[in-house]
Amino acid sequence: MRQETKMKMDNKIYEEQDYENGALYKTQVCVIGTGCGGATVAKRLTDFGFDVILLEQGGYYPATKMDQNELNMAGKLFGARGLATGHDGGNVLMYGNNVGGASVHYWADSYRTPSEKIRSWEQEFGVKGHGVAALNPAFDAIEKSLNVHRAEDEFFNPMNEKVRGACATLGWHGHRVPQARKFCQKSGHCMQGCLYDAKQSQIVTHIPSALKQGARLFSDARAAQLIYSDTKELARKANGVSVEIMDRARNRPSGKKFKIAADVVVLAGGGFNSSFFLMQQGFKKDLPALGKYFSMNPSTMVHSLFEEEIIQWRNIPAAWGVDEYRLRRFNKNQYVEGGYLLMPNQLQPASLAATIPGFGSDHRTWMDDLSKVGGTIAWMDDVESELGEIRIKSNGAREVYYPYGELTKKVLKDGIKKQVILNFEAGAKKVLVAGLQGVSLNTIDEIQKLDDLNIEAGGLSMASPHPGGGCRMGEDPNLSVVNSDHQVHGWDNLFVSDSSVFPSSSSLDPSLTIMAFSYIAADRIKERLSV
Amino acid sequence: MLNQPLPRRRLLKLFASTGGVISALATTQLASCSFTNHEKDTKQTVYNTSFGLLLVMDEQRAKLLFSFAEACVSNSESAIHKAEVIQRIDEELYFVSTDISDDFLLALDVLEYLPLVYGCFSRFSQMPLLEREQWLVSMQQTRINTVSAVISACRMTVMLMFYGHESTMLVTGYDGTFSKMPQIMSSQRRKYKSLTKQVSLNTHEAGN
Repeated sequence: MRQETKMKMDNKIYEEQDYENGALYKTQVCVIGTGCGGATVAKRLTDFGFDVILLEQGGYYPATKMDQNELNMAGKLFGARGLATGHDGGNVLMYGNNVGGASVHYWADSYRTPSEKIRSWEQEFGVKGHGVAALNPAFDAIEKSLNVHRAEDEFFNPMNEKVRGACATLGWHGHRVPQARKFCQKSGHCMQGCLYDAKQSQIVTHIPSALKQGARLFSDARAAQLIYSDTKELARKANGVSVEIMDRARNRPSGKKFKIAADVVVLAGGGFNSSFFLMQQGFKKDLPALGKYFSMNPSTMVHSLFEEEIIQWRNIPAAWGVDEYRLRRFNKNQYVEGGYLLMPNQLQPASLAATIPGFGSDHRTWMDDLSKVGGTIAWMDDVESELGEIRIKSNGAREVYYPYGELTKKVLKDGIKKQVILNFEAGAKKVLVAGLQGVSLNTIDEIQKLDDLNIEAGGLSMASPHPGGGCRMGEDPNLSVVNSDHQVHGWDNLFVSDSSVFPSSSSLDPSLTIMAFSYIAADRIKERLSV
Repeated sequence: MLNQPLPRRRLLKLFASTGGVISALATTQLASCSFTNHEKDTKQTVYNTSFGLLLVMDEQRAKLLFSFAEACVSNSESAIHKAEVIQRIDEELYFVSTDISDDFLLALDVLEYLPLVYGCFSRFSQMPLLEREQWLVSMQQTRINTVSAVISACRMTVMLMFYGHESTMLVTGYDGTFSKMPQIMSSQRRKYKSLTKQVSLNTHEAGN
C-alpha cells in the first residue's frame, strides 16, 4: 500500500508551495469547497472526531492580505474576478473563489429558511429530515457561533434610514436584518472582505474551529477528477480525488498534481460549481436531473439621487429589509404583484459606475454627485416552473442557462416598480433603473414609463449572488441528484453539502440554510462512517 | 448626424451577411493569440501597443476599446490613460478563463462593425467622438438582445476599471477606502506587471 505523504508543517492553511508533486494524502472525509457548506460540514465532522481534508481551488486571503481596494479584492475573492455572466450576458454571477467562499465577500445577512420553503420542500419535493424540528437546533447553534443578531440603530446608514422611513409612510412591512457580525467597524467594505475580522465569515468561524480539531485545508488545490470504482452492490464508491495544484500567480494549473484517498467525499463547491463538477466527471447520463432546477435570485437595482449626502458605501449594506412583497400574490391565478425581498443597496464607486446606466455626459452627471446617490435592490424568489440550468458547453466550459420566463419577467418588472415607489417615498428627486435602457424618472407620476421596460439580456443590470439547485434533493433519481441524506443517487459514499441541493430557491440569503443543511449532512455522513 | 437604425428584418439580414466577416476577423485575431482552448498555455504572446505591452489585446482592439471608453466616460483622453483602463482590462482578461476573454474580444469585434449594420458609414473606432457617444445613446433603446448584451458588457467593464482607479476619486468625491491603507498587490497583479515589463507601483509588496 502506498505511503501517505506527510506535510512539513502542521496547523496552517496550506498553499501551492506546500505540496509535493505526486503526493498522496489520506483522510476519512475529503470536502471539496470551503464556503458556507464545506466549512460547516467539515467543522461538524471534526466535532465528531473524524479526520477531514478540505480542498479549495482559490487562494487564501485573510485580513492581512486585504486592502479594501474594490478591483484588487474582486480579483482575489470573486469567481472569474466578478466578470462571469449568465448565458445571455445579462446577469453578473457572484460567487467566491477563495478560502471561505462567498462568505468572505457576502453581506452577512443571516436568515433562517422561510417556513413556506421548508413546507414546500417537504410536501412538494419529498425532502425528508430537513423540517423545522431538524433545522432549528442547527440554526440555534449557528446563530450563536456566528453572533447573529438584529441590526441595531447605529448600523443604519442614511439609505437604510430612508428606506425604513419610507416603509413606515407606505405601510410596507419591514424588519431589522439579522447580521453575522462582531465589533463591526462600519467600513462599508463587506464585499471587499472584512479587514477587521468583524464579519463572521467562514474564515473566522467554522474554518478555524475545524483546523483546531485537526482538519487540514489545502488552498490553491483544484479537485480535477473523482477517483471511484463500481462495486458488486451496484452502488458506485468514491475512493478519493485527483487534485491539480494551482499556480496562483498565473491563475492556471501548474501542471503538478497530488491525490487524496478518502473514505467519503463531500462536494461543496456551491451552486454554480457542484453540478458542473459532476458533469465534468461524465455523470450526466446517470443523473438526468444534474444541472437542472437551477435558481439564482436574479436581482434588479434602482439608483436614486437625493438632495443630501447618502454616502451609500459606508456602514453595513442592509440593516433594513422590506418583506411586504416577499411572496407572490395572485388573483384568480393571475399574477398581481410581489415575489422579492427589497433592501437598500450598497456598492462601491466602480460597481456603482458600472450599474448606473448611460454614456458620456448623462452618466457623468450621476458620477459627479456620487455621494448623493442611493438606491435599492430586489432579490427575486425564482419561479419554480421557470428555473434555469447549469450546462457544459462543447468546449468544456460552464454555461449558466437562465432564460426569463413570462412570470419571471412580470416579477422582475414589479420589483422595479416597487423600488421606484420606495425610492421616491424616501425622498429621491430622480430615479434611474439599472440597465442599458436607463429609464429615468423625475417623479412618481412617470411610473408608467416602466411599462415599456425591456426585461431581457443586458436590458437590465442584474446580479445573482445566491445560486441554488443543480444537484436537487429528492427521492426520485430521475428528478433529483441527491437523496434526503445528501447522498448522490447510485453512490455509496459521495455526498453534496451546499446550496446546489436546494429543490427550489431559498428566497432569502441562503447562507444560514446552507450551514443548517450541512449540519444534517454531517449527521448522515457520520452514520455512513459508523457502518 | 447619425442614421436611424434599420428596420429589424433588414437589420438581421445585414447582420447575418456581415456575421461571416466578423467571425472570420475574430477567428484570425484569436488564432494570432496562440491560446489553447479553455486554458491558456504557457506560450505567452505579448503585444507591443501604444498602451504598452499587452497580453490579450492587440493594437487594433486596444484602440477600439479606447475609443469606446472615450465615448463612455465623457472625460479627457489623458484621464482615461491615467486610469490605465486599457491595461487593467487587459490584465483582467488575462486571468479569467478563455471562455470569458474570448467572449469579450468577440464583443469588441462585433461592436466595431455594428454601426455599419445600423446604416452608419463608418466603423465604430473611426467615428468622431460625438457621433460615437450619440450612436451609443441611440443603442440604449435596442430590443436586439445580442446588441444589448455586447454594448452592456463592454460598457460595464470600462466603467468598472475607470472608476475603480484612484485617479477618478476626485471626480466622484469618493473619500477612498475606509482604512486608507496602501494597496496590497496580489501575486497575479505582480505577475502581470512582470510579464508586461511595467515599473512596479509604489505599493506594499508583501502578501499574496
